[in-house]
Amino acid sequence: MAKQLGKRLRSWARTLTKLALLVLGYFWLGAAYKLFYAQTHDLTRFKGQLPLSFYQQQFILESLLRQTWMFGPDFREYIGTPPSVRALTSTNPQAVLADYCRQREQELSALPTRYPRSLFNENALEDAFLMSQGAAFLGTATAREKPVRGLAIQADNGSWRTVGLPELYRSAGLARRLADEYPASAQAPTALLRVAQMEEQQGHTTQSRTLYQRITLEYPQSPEAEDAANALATAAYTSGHLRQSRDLKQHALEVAEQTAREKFPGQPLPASTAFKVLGYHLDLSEVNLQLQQLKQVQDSLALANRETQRLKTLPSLEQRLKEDLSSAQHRLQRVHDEAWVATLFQDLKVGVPGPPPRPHEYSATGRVLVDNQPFPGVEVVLSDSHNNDFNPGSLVGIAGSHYRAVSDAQGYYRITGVPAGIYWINAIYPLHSAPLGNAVVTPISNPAIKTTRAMPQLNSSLGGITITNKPVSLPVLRFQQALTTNSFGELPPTGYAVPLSWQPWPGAAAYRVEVLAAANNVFFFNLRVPRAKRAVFVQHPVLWQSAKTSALQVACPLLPLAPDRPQGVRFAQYEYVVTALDNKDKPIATSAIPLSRFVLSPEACVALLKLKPHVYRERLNPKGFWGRRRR
Amino acid sequence: MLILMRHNLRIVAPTLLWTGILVFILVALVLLAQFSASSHFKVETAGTLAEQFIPLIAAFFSAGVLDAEMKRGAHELLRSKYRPLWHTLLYRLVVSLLLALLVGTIMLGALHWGVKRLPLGMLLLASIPSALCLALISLWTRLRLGNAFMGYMAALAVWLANLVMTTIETGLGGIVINPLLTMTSYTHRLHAEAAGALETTPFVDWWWVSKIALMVVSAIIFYSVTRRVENLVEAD
Repeated sequence: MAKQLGKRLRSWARTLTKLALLVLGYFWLGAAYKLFYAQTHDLTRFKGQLPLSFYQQQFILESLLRQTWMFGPDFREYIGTPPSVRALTSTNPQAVLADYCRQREQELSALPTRYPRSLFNENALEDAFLMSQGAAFLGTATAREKPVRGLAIQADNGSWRTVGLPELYRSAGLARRLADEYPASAQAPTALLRVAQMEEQQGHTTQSRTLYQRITLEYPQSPEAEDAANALATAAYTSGHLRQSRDLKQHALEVAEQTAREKFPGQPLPASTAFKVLGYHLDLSEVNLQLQQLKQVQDSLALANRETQRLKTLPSLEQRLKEDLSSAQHRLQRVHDEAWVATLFQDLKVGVPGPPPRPHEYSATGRVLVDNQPFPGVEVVLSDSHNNDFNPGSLVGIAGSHYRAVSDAQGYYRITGVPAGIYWINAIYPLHSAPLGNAVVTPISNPAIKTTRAMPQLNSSLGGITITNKPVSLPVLRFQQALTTNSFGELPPTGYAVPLSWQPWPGAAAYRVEVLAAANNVFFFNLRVPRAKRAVFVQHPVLWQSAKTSALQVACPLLPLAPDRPQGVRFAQYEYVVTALDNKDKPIATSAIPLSRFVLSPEACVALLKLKPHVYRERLNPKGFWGRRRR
Repeated sequence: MLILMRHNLRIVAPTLLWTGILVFILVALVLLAQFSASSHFKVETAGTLAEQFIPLIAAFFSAGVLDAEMKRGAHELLRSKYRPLWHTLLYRLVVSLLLALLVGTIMLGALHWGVKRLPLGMLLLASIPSALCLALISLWTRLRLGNAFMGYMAALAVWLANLVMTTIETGLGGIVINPLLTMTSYTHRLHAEAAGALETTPFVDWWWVSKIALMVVSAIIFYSVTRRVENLVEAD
């Protein structure tokens, strides 16, 4: 009986082992094929739906099943392990991802040093770059890392809203390392382009132009060469070098056409690509017109016209493309008219008229001071209402603005080429000021910066700086030394409160603390406010305010920090402002908000939920299901 | 060769009576569904039918190709033929596969002329490796477990597993579990082509590698089937 049982068990074990080997063999074979495919193809053209690199995406299941060992220790380290699901579901997932990204960045950047002959070194550096960027953004948002630079966004009545900016210098270093150590890699031009764009955004014009030129020279046939040539063409046009701008634009057009031919061999180009080519022809015709090269203008116009006619015949065009096509047609007509006038003048032999008048552009100058001393290294950005869509906090509008300048050693700056209009003024500044011995600084409200209302009844604003028909001198941007706070990041509870502490301020008799919802988290808390007062609440979302205290620490109770849906407390982020008061209760200093960001620790979240906070809901249909108004 | 094919067809055909009725009903239902929603019919749908439906029919037809001898206990008849055993097996398999392809051709032909023009030749060609593989899985399971019904079930299980894998891959947003051993590689290519994403979708340019892999797996299973039948015959 026992013998038979043993025999049966052995038989079952053999069957299960064969089944397990079959399943594992299925995964192993698939992994081997995927690896072979990745090594024989250019992976830069594969863009999955998830924001992960090819290897990380395709081998995620193998890493979950711990089967990445079969291709060597370097491959196992390159793929790594995914973040813990338990941590993602129990704490703030953004914070967990921030820590995971930082850890992976360190592991991946060390891979080329540990395994110099690994096949995955280039991909490792590329992934390290992506992880570094993710860690920087998530780390700043979840108060995992203290920001080094702040962004002061103009709010109403000369006040400022400040947020911390993620520090991307590590990402830039990784991208540069990839381009320098692996110049033959398919990712090298992309890495260089990213570094160039980062340098340009930070106002390092010379470095960015050098990198753009390097891309066009070393990788002339890569798709990135098109973006680099476009950037250089724009810079050349702005500085008045029209011939150089035209040549660069022509090069960008050639790269775009070559890329399109490779992507769609023997087929008509899709609408978006054809529209891009049309844009290039229009740009070239405008530049040639300014250079008075009328023959080239006619050629470019003919090509642009042909593309326009072809686009108009396409049956189903996206709405966005239809609008762009309409504006391109207006532009085409304008250039055509100007070319006709120029040709007429040439035929009459009375000389070709000068370039068409450019829109009115002026300069904006100003000064940046910190505690009445010059504040160098502050980047002042003018963003227009079109980019901001009536929302001054739109980071996209600020990042995309070309009207920017950095203050010099004396604190002066000059922004050139600004067309007439209404603009928001923003400032990217170092949070620790060198003139003040690396003390923390914060911007001061300036009532001289007025807000222009578009339509007062709609409470929407257009901007604070108006440029009409002459250069403008902007109000002085003033910063002051800020009170230094100690509490930052994930805060544990003390009973049913969280402790907030700060450094003493000379001459302060008392302090007052306000805890606010973080700038990107206000929607978690706005249902508690009546709809009529919500707009005001969003501007200054105070959740709790302390009484005056002379101590250097307060215990903020947890209950007021509960979001409208308390179960979402692990996603909530907060900021606090400490105001130092003198003997007459007059404010003498405030803390810097970007360095006063915090989230609740898992223990604090549990403690908060034990208090059973109120759940705020908003009825979408006040008349109820049956159409009758509720009592 | 044609005479041998006809001879094997006469042996195999009677065993396909009830299976044929089931297949007929399935094909009728599929055609009814496609014709009723003809405005949504696309080439990719035809690819799915070719690479998933035809192999299933081939698996149903192939499970009982040796039943004429094995059900009656006359295993030695298989060894007593003038040609080697694997020839006999191959002929029987090819006959069942051709029948399945015929059914598939009729189905796709009806859609081609009734709804929308399709690349019939390419679809049928792409379905052959998948059909052969699933047919051999069905036959191997029938020989191993001695029951044609178990052969159907095993083939159905593999087919369902492939379907589940494809659905999971679609849900995971581009993550592919095993692009080599999949029955629907040509359908993936058709989807990528329709979306204009041929250049940006991985693995679709090497769809033919998957078909070669399926042929290699089929060859291995065929060798195993031949050895199994020889052992069965010698055991008798």
